[in-house]
Amino acid sequence: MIEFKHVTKIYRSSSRDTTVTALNNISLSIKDGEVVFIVGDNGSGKTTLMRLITRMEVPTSGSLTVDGQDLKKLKKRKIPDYRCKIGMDFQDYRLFPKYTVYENVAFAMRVIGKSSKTIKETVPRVLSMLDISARANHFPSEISGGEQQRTALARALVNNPKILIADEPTANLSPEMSRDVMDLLVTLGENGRRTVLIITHDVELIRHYSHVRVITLAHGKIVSDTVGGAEATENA
Amino acid sequence: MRKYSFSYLMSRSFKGFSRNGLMSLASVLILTSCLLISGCFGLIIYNLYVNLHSLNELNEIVCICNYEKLPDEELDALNAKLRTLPNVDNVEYTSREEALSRMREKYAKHPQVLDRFNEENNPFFEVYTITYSGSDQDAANLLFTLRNKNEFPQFRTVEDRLETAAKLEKLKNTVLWISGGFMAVLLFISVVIIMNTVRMAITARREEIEIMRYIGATGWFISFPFMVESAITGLISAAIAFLLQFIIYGNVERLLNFDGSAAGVITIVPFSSVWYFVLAGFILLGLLTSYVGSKISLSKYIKV
Repeated sequence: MIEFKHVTKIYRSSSRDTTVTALNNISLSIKDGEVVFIVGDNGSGKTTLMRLITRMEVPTSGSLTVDGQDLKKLKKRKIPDYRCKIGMDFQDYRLFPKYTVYENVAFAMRVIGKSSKTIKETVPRVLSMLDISARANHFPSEISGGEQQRTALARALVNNPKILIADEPTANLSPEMSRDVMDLLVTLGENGRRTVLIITHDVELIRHYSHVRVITLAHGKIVSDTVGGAEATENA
Repeated sequence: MRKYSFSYLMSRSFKGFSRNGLMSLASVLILTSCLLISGCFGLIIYNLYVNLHSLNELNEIVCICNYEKLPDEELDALNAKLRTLPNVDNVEYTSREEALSRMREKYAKHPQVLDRFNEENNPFFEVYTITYSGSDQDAANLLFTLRNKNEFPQFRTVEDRLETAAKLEKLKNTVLWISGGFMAVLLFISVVIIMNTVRMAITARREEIEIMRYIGATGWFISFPFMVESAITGLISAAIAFLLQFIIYGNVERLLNFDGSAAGVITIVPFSSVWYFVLAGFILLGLLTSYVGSKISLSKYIKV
C-alpha cells in the first residue's frame, strides 16, 4: 500500500530566496494491485508525486509510507533495494542509444546484480511478452516510437516490480499507439499482482477506462479522486 | 548482497574512459607532468642525500704536506705523532707516487689526461688521511691542532669535510622545501584536474546515472566505473612518467658521469638501483591523486 499523509513538498531555489510548493498537504492511499491514473496539467505536482514514491525526493512535511515503510526514515543504503520494487517507465523512454533493445532491458538486471544466466533466461521472456522479440538486436533509433515505449516498459518490468509507474507513457505516441500502450499498462495491473500508477495529462484517453481510479491534481492539491475517466475529465 | 560481474563493470569503466577521451587525455598529460617533476625533485634529493651521507660517513681529515719531499724518518715520526692525538682512529699515508698511480688507475680509459706527468713531474702532494671518531667538538679540536703551524709545520693545508657536508645539508634542505612546495602545488592541481574530469564525465552521463538510480543501482555500482577511470588515468600517467624519467635520468647520468663519478666529485646514483622506487612512487602517487580527486567529485555530484 502507498499512503500519503498530509504530504507537502516545497522546493527552494539554490539562493533560498524563492520557494515553490509542488505538493500541498496531500493525503491519499493506493492499495496493492490497484491501477490508478494520476492526471493534471503541467506543474500540478504529478512528477513530484512520482519522485516522492521512488524516493528520489523526501517530503518537506507529512509522511509517505510504501509497504509499511516510512520513506523519510528509509536508510540511505536501503534505498537501492527499495527502488528495485518499483519499475519506472519514462515519458521520453530514456533508452540508451548505444545499447540494443536486448541490452537496454538487460541493463536493468545488471544494475541490481543479476547473473548473466538469469538475464539470458528472463530478458527474452519479457521481450516476448511485450511483443518486441523481433527487435531485440535493433538499436532504439531503428525502431518505432511504440516499440521504444514497449522496450522502456520491458526494462521497467524485467525485475518484476511490485509497483509500476508510467510517467506520461503516451506523450510521444500517435493516438492509435497511445491506446495500445495504455491498454497494455492497464492490463498489466488488472491481475492485481502489481500496483500501476499512470501519470498522464491526456484526459481524453482515460475516458476509455471507466473502471479505473483517477486522481486529479491541480496546483499541488488533489482536486478529485474518483473511479472512472469521464468524471475526472470534467474535474480537470 | 548483490553480486556484480567484474568483467562487466571493468568494460563499462574502459568505455567511459575512451568516451571521455579529450578530458581523459588532458588529465593524463597534467598528471604525467606532475609525477615527472615530482620524480625529478625526488631523485635530486636522493642523490644529494647519498652524497651527503658518504661525506658524513667518511669522518676524515685530509692533511696535505708541503711540496718538498720529506725524509723517511720524518714521515715515520709524523705518522707516530698523529696517532697519539686524541680521537684519531687511523692514519693513512699516501705518497706522491701512489697518488699519481691511483689517478692513472681511475682515468685508465682516458690516459691522455695524465700523459704529461711522471715521477719527476708529479703534481700531487704527500697526504695523511686521518680517520677520527667523537663529537663535532672533538673534530673541531683535532682540526685546530692539525692547523697549528707550530705543531705541524709539515702541512700546507688541512681539509675536512664538515664544511662541505654542512653546505650540502643546507642545499638538501633548501631543495627539499622547494620541491616539497612544488610537489604539493602540482599534486593539488592534479587532484583538481581529476575532480574536473570526473565531474565532466558525471555531467555527460547524468541521464544514465538518473536512470540507474531509478532502477535501483547502488552508489557503489554508479561510482565504480568513475573510480576505475580515474585509476586508469593514474596508472597511464605513472607509466608515461616512468618512461620519461628513465630517458631523462639516463641522459643526465651519462652527461654527468665521467668514469663512474661526475668529475670524481659527486656520485650519481644509477637508475638501475632506484627504478623500482621511482615506479612504485609514481604508481602510488598516480593512484592516490586519482582516488582523492574522483572521491571528492563523486561525493559531491552523485547522490543515491
